[in-house]
Amino acid sequence: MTDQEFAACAGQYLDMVYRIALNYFGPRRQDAEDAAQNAMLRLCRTDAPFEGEEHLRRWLVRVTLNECRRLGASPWRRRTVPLESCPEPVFPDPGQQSLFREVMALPGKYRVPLYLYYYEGYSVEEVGRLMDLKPSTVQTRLARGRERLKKILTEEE
Amino acid sequence: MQETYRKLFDQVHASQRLQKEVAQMREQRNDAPRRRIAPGALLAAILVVLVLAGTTLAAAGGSLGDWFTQKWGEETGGSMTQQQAQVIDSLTQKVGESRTSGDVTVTVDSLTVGGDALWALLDVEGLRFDRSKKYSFDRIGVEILPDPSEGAVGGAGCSLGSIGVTESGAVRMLLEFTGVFSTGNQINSGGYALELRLHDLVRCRQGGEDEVIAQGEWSFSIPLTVDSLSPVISIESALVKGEMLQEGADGALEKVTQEVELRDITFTATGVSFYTEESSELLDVAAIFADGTEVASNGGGGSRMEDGSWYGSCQWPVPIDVETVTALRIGETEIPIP
Repeated sequence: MTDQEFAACAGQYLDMVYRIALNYFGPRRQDAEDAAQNAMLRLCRTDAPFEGEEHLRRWLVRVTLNECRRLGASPWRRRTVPLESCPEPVFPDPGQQSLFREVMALPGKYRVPLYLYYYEGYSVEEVGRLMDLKPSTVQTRLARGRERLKKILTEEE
Repeated sequence: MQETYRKLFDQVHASQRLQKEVAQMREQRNDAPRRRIAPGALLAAILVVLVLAGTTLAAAGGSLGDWFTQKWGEETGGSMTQQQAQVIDSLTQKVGESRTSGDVTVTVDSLTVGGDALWALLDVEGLRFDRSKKYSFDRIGVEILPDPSEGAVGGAGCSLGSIGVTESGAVRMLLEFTGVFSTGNQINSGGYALELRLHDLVRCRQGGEDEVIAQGEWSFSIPLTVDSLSPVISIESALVKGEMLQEGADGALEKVTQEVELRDITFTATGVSFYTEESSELLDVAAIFADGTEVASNGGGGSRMEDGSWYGSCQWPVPIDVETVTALRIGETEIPIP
């Protein structure tokens, strides 16, 4: 990948990578940033031939989730908390700010499938393949996550 | 619902710092190998972190030594030896500096300082404190000056929380600080100072926002004295086996046992550090004593270097007497200590 190609990929996909990591880690925003950075570093260093835009996007989703799992599994992360504060995204509408907090407060196992399904537009089967989950498990998590999300949105209104 | 959800995440973007780091990746890869400032290079940063210390001091009014004795019992199930206690004493300095803001006086009673770890015992007086509650500060700033990471790869973590109320009614708090200094600098080697800034005293509430009970700022600048009784043991290199996460052909992560070479292993009273070519984030580290007692590391941190290699360091939950340690276990491999 040339410098220009990498810059174009970063411009196009960095937000997606960060949002996936953010949904994985929830309030641990510093971990989300670290995982997103690691995923982009993998892209920077990979020699993998991408067969097209969709292949690259799927590869990035997969690598991001793997980097999140790596960070989450590390015993080095068990106790220490980064000193550097990592600010919460700011929304112009206070209602959206509180909605974002509610969404981030959902159990982690619901957040990532909801994001991949609702935002990135992957099907249940694709979410299952990306997350190494059976489609039936994804279906259940989506249904429960959706239920909670609906409740939050109703309360917000 | 989908529309609301999409609109919400449309407004979530990678921070400017992350964008900058990613933008620089390519030029750093193309440069000659040099150390990159990792996302967690934080020594100059002000932190906003609050984690309650787990071990409550049973004896109200106890010292840092008493806290470590309790912690040792919790970690090992045994009693601390006199020699071990002496090592902790040798790393501990009496401070006794106080700052008052409004009705509240904060005193830094004492510090225990190792190469990349520091514990501080604080007393907070001036209010009537409820013994059944936990207290802390709303914002905490910790800096070690000059920066031991010298602007290179590094990171740090910190926790602060109350560990008891003394007979005189002061809240005792314990501050635990650990750093990842890939420069190899030791903060107990002399010439360093702890800069501590505490803002707004809070009563902690589980599952809710902490309640500010006294507004104010309490700032300290405390020189860290030289530790004279803590030897550093260096091991040139060692091959260790440990579980790593690897991506399979289908992209799924799986745990595999892998052999990794660690270089420049440094073992001190407060932790172990090393350099390695492979990511070794899953390596657990333990110190094994002659009587079979084991002390497992208390977490730590790792930084990827610009050339793709890793620097890792982890800390002990209590300072240990390295001279009575017979082996280190890293991953699945025991490394005898000469």
